[in-house]
Amino acid sequence: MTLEDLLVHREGVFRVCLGFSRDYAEAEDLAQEVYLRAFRGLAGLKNPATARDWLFRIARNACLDHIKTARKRRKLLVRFAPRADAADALEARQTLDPRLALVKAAVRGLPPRLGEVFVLREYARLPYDEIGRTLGLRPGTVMSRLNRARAAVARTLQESPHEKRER
Amino acid sequence: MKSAKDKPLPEDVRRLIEAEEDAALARFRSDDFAGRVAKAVTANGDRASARAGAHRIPRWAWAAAAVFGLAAIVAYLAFPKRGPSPFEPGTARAASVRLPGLDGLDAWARDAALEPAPLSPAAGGFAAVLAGLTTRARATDAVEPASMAPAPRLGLEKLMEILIRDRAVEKALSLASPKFKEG
Repeated sequence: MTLEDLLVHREGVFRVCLGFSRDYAEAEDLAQEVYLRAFRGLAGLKNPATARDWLFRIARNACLDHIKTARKRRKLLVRFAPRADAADALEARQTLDPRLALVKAAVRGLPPRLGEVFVLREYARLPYDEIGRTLGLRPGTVMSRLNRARAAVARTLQESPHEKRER
Repeated sequence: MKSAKDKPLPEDVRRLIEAEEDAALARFRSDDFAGRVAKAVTANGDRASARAGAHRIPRWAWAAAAVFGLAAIVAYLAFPKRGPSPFEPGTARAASVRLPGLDGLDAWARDAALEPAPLSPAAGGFAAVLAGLTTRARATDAVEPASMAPAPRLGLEKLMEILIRDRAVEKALSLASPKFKEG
């Protein structure tokens, strides 16, 4: 198994990263980080047949780590430079469709165990059994978590001031 | 694998996600992602090999350096060196003569006369030569009692004690007489 073999799955990895990220550039950086991590851990991959699941697992971990780090950084920014954080948020909103920005914020705000299932299903479009293999869950658990995640996203959108204004 | 429990995502949200994905994937396909990853891997490999360079030094060399460092620390702690005194020989006695009646000064002058030089013979010889030269150079303007014998060198604790006393005496004199000025 080489890096080239892993690059066959790059679109799937990118979709996962896109689901967790705020914009295209962040998703691309994250996808690159996933492949760097995969390259470093390639020697530890025992069964090449599971490379795709392994890669998606790395993607999930890298994205969740990234979100955690970003949250910590934002907390610090809010504490020490609130204007900079507001400008950052405004810039993110301006580059995206406002409703899409809301969806992305809602996905990023989900608890990790719900967010990962949502992204693997709605962005990477993996079947339930593959999500289960990637996350080490039974398909029934995947489904129930997915339903909860979808409901949470829909609720967040309904409760947002932007949505209320449009109605 | 659909079940009755499987509630789909609202249609408008699904369309938003799909539109985002389509646009992002079109851009992603046009970018040379594989080349970018290869570059990043190469750069990462360079950094990793630079880090590995530190491991190329054999273990015995690390161990020898550690033992040498430890021995140096032990030697430094076991044989404390004291440098030559910054004071002229006989300072204690001169101060005692100038300020009679100060108990501390008298005691210091007695201790200074008894205290052996704490330097090694070689260092002591060098310091003695240096002190002799300095004394000779200043002999013309030095004011010392004629009967004064060269005093031995002082330890660091003694020096600190002298400095503190000196300050105290100076302060006391300046308080007692506003016109007093050192030197």
